[in-house]
Amino acid sequence: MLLLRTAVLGCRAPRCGPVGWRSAASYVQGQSPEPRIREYFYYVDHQGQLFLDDTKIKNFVTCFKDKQFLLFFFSRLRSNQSGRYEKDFPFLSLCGRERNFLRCDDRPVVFTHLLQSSGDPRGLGGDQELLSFCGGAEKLAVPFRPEALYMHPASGRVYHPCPERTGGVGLVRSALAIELSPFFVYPPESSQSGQPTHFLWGEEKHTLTNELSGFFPMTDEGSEERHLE
Amino acid sequence: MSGRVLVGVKRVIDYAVKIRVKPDNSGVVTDGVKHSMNPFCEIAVEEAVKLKEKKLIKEVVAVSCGPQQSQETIRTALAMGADRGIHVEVTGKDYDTLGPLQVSKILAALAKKEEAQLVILGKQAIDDDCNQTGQMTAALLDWPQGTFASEVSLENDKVKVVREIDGGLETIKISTPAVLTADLRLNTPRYATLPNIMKAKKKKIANVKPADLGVDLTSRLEVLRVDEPPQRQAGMKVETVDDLVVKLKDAGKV
Repeated sequence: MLLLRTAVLGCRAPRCGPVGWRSAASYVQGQSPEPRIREYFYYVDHQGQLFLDDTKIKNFVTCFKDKQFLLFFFSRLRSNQSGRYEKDFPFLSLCGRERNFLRCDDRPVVFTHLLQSSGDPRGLGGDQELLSFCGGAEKLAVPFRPEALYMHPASGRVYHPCPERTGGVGLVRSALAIELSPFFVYPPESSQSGQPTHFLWGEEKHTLTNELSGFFPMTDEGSEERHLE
Repeated sequence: MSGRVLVGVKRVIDYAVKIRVKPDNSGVVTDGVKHSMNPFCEIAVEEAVKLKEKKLIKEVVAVSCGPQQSQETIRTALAMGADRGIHVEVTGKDYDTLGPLQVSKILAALAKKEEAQLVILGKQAIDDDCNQTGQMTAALLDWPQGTFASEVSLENDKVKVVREIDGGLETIKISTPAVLTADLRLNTPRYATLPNIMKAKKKKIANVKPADLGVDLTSRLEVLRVDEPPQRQAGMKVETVDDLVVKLKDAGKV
């Protein structure tokens, strides 16, 4: 059995580290490098759960849940070009005198819910569906573009576009990928472990554009292998 | 040893959903409400799959008790790496009164039938917070139990379990077959990739009825009433300490 060695996911915007990677940066939460400035350090996992970076145990109990806070945090998120902690914390959310640095397991934006205007799971109906991220309901959301869904060929993770300011590409969390999985279409002779070609949505067969592939660097043969069973 | 691990997975209301009590106070509203796999069960599945990846066990079987929708929960376990599933069909009134006693009887019967080496469960469910099923299952089987596990290692026919207890950590060594329950620190559940999600659709889920296992689902418990926690009252500001004392006296606090 070949082991999957996950390719480090890079992109045009600064990248985040793989799972289990501990930040080499040293900091104290709430530190004040200059007068009237406070710095805090956060982490977002592959389920879109947000934590203080130094929280020892990260799970649904210890993540931030307050919707107002999450909205505030993520709506101000941008790439970190502050000259501080850029390597270890590629993203930053500014809130008045607070600098909230963010690093992530994969992407800073993690899509958690598909919001429907009607109850029909096939998206039939006039209104635009929204892909909501990081638990922010309709306040943290982008229009759903089924043709832009992208499965990374090496890791098998599913992605969707998000605003350029927050990295351009967001991860679709596993639970949501499971909900969307019945609508992926594969080449007739394939085993469905490769790249899907289309997505059935709103009575249309959308051809997948794979436009997000440019966000992930080309990897050479030696650096990752497909997971075979 | 069969090298087979049974993992119990429960379908519960998603932890992020705001719970509402039914107008007749008989329970909580579940119709149309988002459900997911109990987070502790996710951790249990992850641990079983990791043991299989380390080649310490041969097969992971995911079990869920409930209505048709429980199959979705089993599919999630299959997408995470379980090999096959068993759906124990429980519906209607039986499902409303299904609790740890009934589930543990079902799991005990299945553990014997499948000749399981290990039964791994979440330590508790986030809807009822019972924290009983693992313990009851072990008792019915007369198997050792390693509960609140934050670390599990298999050493031949023994299991070393580090347990989260009030005073810190306790390490025990128990023989197999055994029942383990997963605590939060045991592991971080993996991202189920799209290829694995698609493969999971082809894995087998057997359909079983409790009667087939000789299990009586009669409940010994009756829920009398469900209420919301009291609403948090607004605070108030006072100008002086004397005002505070007056207010406290008026409220009968001093």
